[in-house]
Amino acid sequence: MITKIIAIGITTTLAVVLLKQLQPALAVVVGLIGTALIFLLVVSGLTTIISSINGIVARTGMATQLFSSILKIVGIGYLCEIAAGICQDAGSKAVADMIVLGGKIMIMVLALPIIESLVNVVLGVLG
Amino acid sequence: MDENLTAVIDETLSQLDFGDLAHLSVFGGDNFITLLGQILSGKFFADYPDVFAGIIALLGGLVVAVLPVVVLIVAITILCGFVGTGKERGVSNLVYFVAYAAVVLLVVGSVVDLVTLVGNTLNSLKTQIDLVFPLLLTLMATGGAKTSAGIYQPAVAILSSGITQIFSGVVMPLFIISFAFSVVAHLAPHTKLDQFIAFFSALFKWVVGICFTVFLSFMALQGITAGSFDSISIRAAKMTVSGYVPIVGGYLAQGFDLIMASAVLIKNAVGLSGILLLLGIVLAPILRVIIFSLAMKLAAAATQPVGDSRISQFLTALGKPLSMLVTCLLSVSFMYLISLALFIMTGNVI
Repeated sequence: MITKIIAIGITTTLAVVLLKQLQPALAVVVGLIGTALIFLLVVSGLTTIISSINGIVARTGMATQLFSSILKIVGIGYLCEIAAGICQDAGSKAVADMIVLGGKIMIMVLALPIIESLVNVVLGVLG
Repeated sequence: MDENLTAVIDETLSQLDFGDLAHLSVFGGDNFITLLGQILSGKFFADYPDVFAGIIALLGGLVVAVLPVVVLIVAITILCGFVGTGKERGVSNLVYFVAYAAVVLLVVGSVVDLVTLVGNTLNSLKTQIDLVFPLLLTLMATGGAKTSAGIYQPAVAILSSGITQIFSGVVMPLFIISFAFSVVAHLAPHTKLDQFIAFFSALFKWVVGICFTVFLSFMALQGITAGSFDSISIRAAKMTVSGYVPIVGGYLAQGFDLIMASAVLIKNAVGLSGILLLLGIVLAPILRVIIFSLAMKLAAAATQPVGDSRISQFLTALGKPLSMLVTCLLSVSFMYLISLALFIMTGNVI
């Protein structure tokens, strides 16, 4: 598995470096395809990790709501990092920053219930 | 002599007013009067293995109850630790913040439970003090230790109203404040509030220490003088009876002995039952707080290599406020225990 990832990664990088001098537009596309391939390879592993952690959390029988929003937040975090990295490599830093900002806002939207209940609990302790 | 003593004990017991004490249960099973009977007849001490098995079962249950929180904390930290490894910028900071908020949410939920538990335990200790000590004082006076009883009365009043008030009114809020500070201190990586936490725990230590010293020295000093005074007055009474009442004086003095011995025996059994009752009330909460504190240390150790340092630092910093909770329970129950022990030791004047 890891050999496949390394092979794809190195070939993509070499292709991108070579293409950059000949066809800069194509280089970005090749980079995208390479990243997508690696991501597809890793997805099965990721689902195994998440489903096993989910199983453990379900067995504890508490805070499943909290945990599912944490999962979504982590997923958004991953995707934003990857997308922002690709955009930055392609040279458009502004787009990368915009993606990061969008990700932050989406994460904040998902995290609001958590922060709200945190504030409620703390106020409950003090009151 | 033995049968006579049993008869007198039964009679004295039947005349005592146990009040609400009769309804209190010890270790969840026997009620106070049954326990008292068992101690008086020497049967109780055959049941030690049962008590130990109970404690082991309690420990197991507590450990199982605290595991889900640890598992959740570690799972959340590992998941969020994946995002943005090695990058300063980007969404990773926000994800870490959310992870911290989620962990704090989990921990605060458990800590709120613990605070309510400790508060309830302090209240039931106060109830128990209010119930046991009047009975003990009555028995003490019956056993001939009138002066001691009179001197201990204000001490008991201080213990039952003053000290429990200080603990639930001053010491518990101090715990909550220092807990809140340790939550806020790790919210952002550069917030530095360590000295505030240190200040509150120092304040806590001084309040508890002063309560302890004042109360215990008062009890001990008063107890010593009162005990010897009682013993002199009782000897004098006994000598008067046996010396100046003609013919039957010797027998009367022996009967006097018997009644006082029974009262002393019952007083000591009541004191011992009080100690067992105290253990029954206090043991479970103390163990629960200690196990929770250890579990947080374990979670801190497990999250340190994988995740954001804030979470493990917060979990480590929890140790201080949690030890305050344990100290709270331990010191009140220790003061109570010392007074019970003093009551058992003094006034045994025959």
